[in-house]
Amino acid sequence: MITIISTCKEKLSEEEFVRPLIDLLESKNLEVHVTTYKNPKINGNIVVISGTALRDFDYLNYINNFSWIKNFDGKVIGICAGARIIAKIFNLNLIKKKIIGVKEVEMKDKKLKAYFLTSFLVNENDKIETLARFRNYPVLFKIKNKKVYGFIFHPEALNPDLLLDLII
Amino acid sequence: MKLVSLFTGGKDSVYSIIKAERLGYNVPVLLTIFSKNPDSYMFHRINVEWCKLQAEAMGKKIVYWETKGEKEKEIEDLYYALKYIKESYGVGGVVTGAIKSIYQAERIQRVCDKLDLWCFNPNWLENEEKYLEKLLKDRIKFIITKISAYPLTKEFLGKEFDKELYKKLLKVKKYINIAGEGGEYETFVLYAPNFKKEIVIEEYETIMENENLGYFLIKKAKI
Repeated sequence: MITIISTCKEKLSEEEFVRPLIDLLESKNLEVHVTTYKNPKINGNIVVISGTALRDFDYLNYINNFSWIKNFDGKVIGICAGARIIAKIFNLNLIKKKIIGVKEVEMKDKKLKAYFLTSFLVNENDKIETLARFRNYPVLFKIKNKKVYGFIFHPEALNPDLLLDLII
Repeated sequence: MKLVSLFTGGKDSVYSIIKAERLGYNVPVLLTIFSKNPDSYMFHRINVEWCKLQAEAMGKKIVYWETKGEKEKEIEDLYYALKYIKESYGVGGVVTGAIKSIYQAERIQRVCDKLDLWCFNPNWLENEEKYLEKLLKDRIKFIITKISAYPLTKEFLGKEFDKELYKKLLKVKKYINIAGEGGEYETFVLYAPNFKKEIVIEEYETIMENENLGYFLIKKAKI
């Protein structure tokens, strides 16, 4: 069972940021449970925290609902807003930077196109391992010694396999 | 929240309105960009003059905005059109029918961001087969009004979407995106659950530029 936590204040945004994740996971015959940032109920040991609309920051008012991530034994994957939540929980430095559109990101052994819809980036620091970067910024990172990952871009758009590789 | 639909008259913009309204959003106004460039990357061209009938059928206002359709300049025109609608109708966001076109989606997101408008793309990343099945289930009645890719031929033009046409599209799915998201075909909606009345086409003309490029032009229609 995989839990998807929606970070969307607006139900219509869930069609854009949550439904594609459900479709992607269900296409691999994975069982999905969906919950919301206002009252997240975790089921199973893999959690995906969704992205949301560029103007939506309501989830930041509920950041305490995510303090469990620090001690969670399973895997947590944050996408955009979800990565911002992870960054907040692990006290990573955030910088304001709006990126909308397709950019080339570099991984260890390849370059790929990724779709960004973000108003922030994370600074490189010793709490994280950078798995992909855009210019000098980590855009896919792993919290060291934890199974906690953050995508600043939206892998469901152009890189679903990157997301699935972390889940399956 | 009050929304404006970025409206082309095709299945995707109509379905995005239906999704919004089912969730309780108010979509009182449609924006149709009339591009003078038939090859616009951003906006449909075929039959958009008939969107006014669809607006009437849905009981909505419609704003037409003309653009020369020059690449990137048409985005400026979209900005001014949405600015006008935001100021005139007090909308807080835009709903679009984008499914997979990142070219369109990122440009609309940027314009919305500049105007402090919410941007909603409720069809985003819909699986093409599942999506067409939803349209069938929800009885969205539409016809194909433009074809522009192999192996689509004249036999598809003007055809109403039903189970038979869906099966035909499935047969060519290795060649095209069968939801038409890559511009393989364009559509015009005649009836949907949010239409009070159906649109009837009384006169039309079909034009074939070559075996896989053709148009179904509505000449006369009524509600």
